[in-house]
Amino acid sequence: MDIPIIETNGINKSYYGNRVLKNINFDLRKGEVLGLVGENGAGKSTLIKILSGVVKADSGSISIEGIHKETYDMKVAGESGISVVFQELSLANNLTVADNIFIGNFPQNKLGSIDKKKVHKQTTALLKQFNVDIQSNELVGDLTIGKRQIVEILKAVSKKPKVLILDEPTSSLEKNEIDILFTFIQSLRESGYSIIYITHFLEEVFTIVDRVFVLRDGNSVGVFDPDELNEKKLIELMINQSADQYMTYETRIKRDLQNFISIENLSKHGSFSDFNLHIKKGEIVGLAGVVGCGKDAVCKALAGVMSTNSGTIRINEKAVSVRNPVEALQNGIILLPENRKTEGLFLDQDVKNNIYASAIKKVSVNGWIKEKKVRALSEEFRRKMHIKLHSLGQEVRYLSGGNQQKILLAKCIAADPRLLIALDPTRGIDVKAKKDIHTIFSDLAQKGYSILMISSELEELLNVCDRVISMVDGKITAEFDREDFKLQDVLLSIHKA
Amino acid sequence: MSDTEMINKNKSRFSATAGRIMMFKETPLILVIAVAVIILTIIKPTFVVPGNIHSILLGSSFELIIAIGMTALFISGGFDLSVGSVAGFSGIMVGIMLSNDFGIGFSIIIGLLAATGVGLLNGLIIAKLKVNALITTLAMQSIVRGVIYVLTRGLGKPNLPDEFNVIARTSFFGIQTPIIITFVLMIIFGAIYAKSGFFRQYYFIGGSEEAARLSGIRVDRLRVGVYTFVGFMSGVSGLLMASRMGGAIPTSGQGMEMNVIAGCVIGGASLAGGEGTMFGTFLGILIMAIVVNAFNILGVNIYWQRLILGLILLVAVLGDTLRKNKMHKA
Repeated sequence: MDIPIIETNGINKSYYGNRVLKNINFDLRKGEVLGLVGENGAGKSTLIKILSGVVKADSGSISIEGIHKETYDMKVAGESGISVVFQELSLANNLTVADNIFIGNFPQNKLGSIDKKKVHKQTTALLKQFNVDIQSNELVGDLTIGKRQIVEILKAVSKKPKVLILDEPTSSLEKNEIDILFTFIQSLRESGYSIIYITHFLEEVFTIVDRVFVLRDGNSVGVFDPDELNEKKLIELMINQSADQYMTYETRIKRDLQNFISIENLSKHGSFSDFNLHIKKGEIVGLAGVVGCGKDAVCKALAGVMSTNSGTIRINEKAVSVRNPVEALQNGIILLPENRKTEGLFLDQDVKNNIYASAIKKVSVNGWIKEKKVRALSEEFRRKMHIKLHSLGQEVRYLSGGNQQKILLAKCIAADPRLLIALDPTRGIDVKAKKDIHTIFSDLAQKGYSILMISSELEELLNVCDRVISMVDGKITAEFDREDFKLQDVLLSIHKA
Repeated sequence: MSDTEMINKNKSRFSATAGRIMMFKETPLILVIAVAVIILTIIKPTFVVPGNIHSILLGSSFELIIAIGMTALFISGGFDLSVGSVAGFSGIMVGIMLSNDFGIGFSIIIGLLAATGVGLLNGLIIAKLKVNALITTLAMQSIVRGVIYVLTRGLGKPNLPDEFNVIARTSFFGIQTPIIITFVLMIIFGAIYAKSGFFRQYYFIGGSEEAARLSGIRVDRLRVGVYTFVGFMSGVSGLLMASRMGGAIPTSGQGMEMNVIAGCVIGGASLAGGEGTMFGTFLGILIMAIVVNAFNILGVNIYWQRLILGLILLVAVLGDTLRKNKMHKA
């Protein structure tokens, strides 16, 4: 058998004592498409970062074409012909396809200026070689997202790598664009490139991938032949099944709840379409789906941060408009944004001044802010949410992520919303703070607040929510009530096209 | 409680109080002013005579009135280079109206409307069309000054009626009206900046525009409002200058933005937004005025004055930036 292009042996990596990769062995063969799958946090991105030399492994070795690499960094990875095409495109929309492909690497003529003819010729040859229907002089900004993705890959190909690592290239593509991309990847394979293909969409594993490498919680589960698997089996490999079998989600007493908000046929071109959802008073609903499925967009549209093209939103049976955050708040809707540092908090202000930002009226008398009320309000939240502080006058910038997140939540709740839209409310915070926030959520629900949340961890949704809605490609594909929660089923539903 | 404990307790209470005074943001500025006054008094005892102090305050009151607006703008994270031209504009408009025999009240209203209108225009361009504030107001500085010259063909409007000139030339209890007006405005707006719920929104906008927007604050509308307010205050200042001088001249207000901005920055207003107080700005402008006054008393060449004022502004901005960088690294 051929010598593998990449072979790793016992790769380990920890971040701050948290082991994200444990003893990873795998090999990439010449001319194959190796699928890399795993849940969020399984270690896929860390593994790619190690292979591209951006991050150094704590231990373990990497061999390229049978040669053991003593040190492995970005330079070695580049020299070994390993090229990563990231999910986010790095193209300049105002330049042509040819310029984008050769940017930073332009062929020069005798006078030392860019040889435009050569750029054009080489690009055309490249496009022809892989049978791509794009012209070299087209502006990248005029191309569809799918074709831009192909240009991005060609940019990597033009540097003649041996290995292409494609990080979720289809996450923002339409169905027909995916087909075009797949044909392109096929022709790359036929030309002898070895490809590591990372995907969230499991059916892709069965159409494009030769072998699939499964990661789970930083462990290698193994390499499998897709022909011997099906989607259900693959999901079972991705999640710790034994754990899930015994995992019972704490049952909740079902209360007779009134409807609060009805979302009818809400659509936004390119993000989601015909979205229908009712949320009851005191209900916690989770939106599940992979990156790019439209769940964030739905949340932002409901909070007035993103515009919509059509649809109706009714609150207590009355049609309302939420064209901006002010209108959303007037209707009792508030967003807990994803990025607490840039969208959520006022980092240079102290804790007490952050908490009333959406509720200035609450701490004012006749339009004047009353320090006593400010203090009382913050003190109340500090106590209720177990926010750890020396004083309420501490600047938010210097607090831990968990405390910051609690302050952000306090700021939202201080506005007395009736629907809290929480985007990944426990991202990057410690276990204790996370648990506190979950408790706060269920207390809020008990008091009649409605919550719509998304999370980068599916398990969190299942822990916290009364109901989980699955989205794929901007559409609702499944709905689960708490008594039917099963990690496999939900996972399967969000990975199905 | 033993004696030593008592002493320690008192000591710590004392140091806590001292610490609190030092923590008070304006303390360094007050110290700078105190040191400057002491040194200047030693060199030139005439520095502290009431007449000189009065003239420092009178001289800085026109800048202070604009700085009231500029402080609010800085807090919101905004910036305005057109204030000097706008002050000149309102003065010229009043001059034109008065010399065409319109009534004083009506002329003043037109002058203020003209200035406020420019502020509104700045606000709409910057907040709604998202054009860079520096460039917009730099352009507006030139445009408005150009309008002044076009309207007057470069000639001033001297000999304004006494009924108008009396506004800025009267004194109560020996204090000239511009000083009184300035202090009344500073106290009113100082209270609003520090305590009003409405104004607190500007601190949030300056702190993080995105977070403010998501918190349900009407960012764009408030931004337009604060630029309009700066235009209005520049107009008030321009009117008082015209009244004080008894005539409107086309170059009136030229270069004023520099002193106003320097005063705000020295006073602790941050270019990044979210910080600044009325009292700090007052002290900042006062420091600038004391420096100019000292130059005059000590007979420093006028050419050196601009250089040194420029350096002071640069040092103040540098201090602000370094402090911010350090904070963000922590």
